[in-house]
Amino acid sequence: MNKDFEFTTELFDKYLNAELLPEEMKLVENRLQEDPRLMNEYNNLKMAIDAARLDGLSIEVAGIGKEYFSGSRGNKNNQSRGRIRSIGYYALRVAALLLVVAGSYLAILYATVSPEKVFADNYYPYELPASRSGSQTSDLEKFYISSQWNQVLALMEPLEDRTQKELYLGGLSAMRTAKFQYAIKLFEKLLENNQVNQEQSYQDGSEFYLALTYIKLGEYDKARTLFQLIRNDPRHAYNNQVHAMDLLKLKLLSWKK
Amino acid sequence: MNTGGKFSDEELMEAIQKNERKNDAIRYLYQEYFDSLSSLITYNSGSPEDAQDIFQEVIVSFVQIVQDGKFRGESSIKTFLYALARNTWLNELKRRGRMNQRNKLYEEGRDSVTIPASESFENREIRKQLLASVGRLGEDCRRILTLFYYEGLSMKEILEQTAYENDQVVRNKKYKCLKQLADLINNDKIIAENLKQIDHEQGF
Repeated sequence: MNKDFEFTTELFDKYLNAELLPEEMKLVENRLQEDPRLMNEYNNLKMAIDAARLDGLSIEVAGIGKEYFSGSRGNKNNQSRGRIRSIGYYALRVAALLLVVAGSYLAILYATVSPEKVFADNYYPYELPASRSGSQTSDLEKFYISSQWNQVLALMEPLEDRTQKELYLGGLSAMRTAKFQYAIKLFEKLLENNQVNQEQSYQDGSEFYLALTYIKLGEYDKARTLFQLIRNDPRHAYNNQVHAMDLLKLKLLSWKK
Repeated sequence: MNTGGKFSDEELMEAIQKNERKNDAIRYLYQEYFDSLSSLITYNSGSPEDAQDIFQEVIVSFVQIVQDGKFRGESSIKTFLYALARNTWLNELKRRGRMNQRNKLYEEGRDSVTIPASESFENREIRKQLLASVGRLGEDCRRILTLFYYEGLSMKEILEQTAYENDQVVRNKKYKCLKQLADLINNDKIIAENLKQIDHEQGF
């Protein structure tokens, strides 16, 4: 190996670790500015050091992840058993009692949860915002505003000719008339159109009401996936509408099935 | 100072920035955010394994961003991690050439969180290649470099953990390893291409 290059590596390393004297630091700085080849070597060394640090951090995070996924968190917790014991016997009893209460609550919830209740707790009718002065209201919108759901649905086919707004109102009207399969068809068509056209028209509302429609049809896992998506996205328009308890209830409904 | 298992956003950032109880902080991030972020991946055509890999990558990036002072808490950690996970997953899909319309839609969608430039597609590619380069080093080299540059151990401390004669031998070995790694990086075409692309985007 080239001796001069060995020296350069050492020198640059010391420079990067600020282990040189101030005048040496200045000298290296000047050489770097003057010589692109040296600058390139310096940059490669810097990247090598970054790579070593990144590798160390990745190994550490992977280790914690492995521990998390293997469920060894419980074992870790056991290491602090002494501390837990010092909290006292009564604390453990309280914890056990809480566990029993939580278990009982879960059992009651399991026994009483129903799709009708989950639907009713989350569903609220969508109302069209008041139209701005001068803007045209279509027949379909007029039918929707006047709660003529079947009239709205009569205007749906062919779906290819419908706007995103019309499909949305159609899906909601189908829900109002308990035509849930048709509601799914309309919402899914709307979401598909958004995919193709790279748009967001009525996306959030359709995801929310589609989830509710899935609940009505007993497709709890599909509903749960959508609710999870909505809950995970702080910017989703229905984010505040979906709660952790709803996800739990859907899980219980799925088990009951 | 946080002494329990729970962290507020401020405590999490402090633990990571000061490198004190960093592992507890990372463990907390897994407990608190893995389930919710993984569904973002699995809902967008990712497998459970993808979700684990992406989450790990997101945590690594997050720790680096916090330590570099690039996250100043303009949004909550939850919101930031969500945006980071979405960005990382979209980059991964782009890498695999499986970017469908819905993913594109999300890419152009409603993100108000500013993702640092270090999380661009090109920088992610470079990071992947850097890790691959370290992986090509021998185990001894990898260990010495990690102990020195990541763990921050002195030559003496590294000597205690290795089988070398004295700390000067360790020092020389470290320089050799560093040079070897720098050469691997220098000869990596993917890194070169992505660096070029970054320069091009920055107008150099």
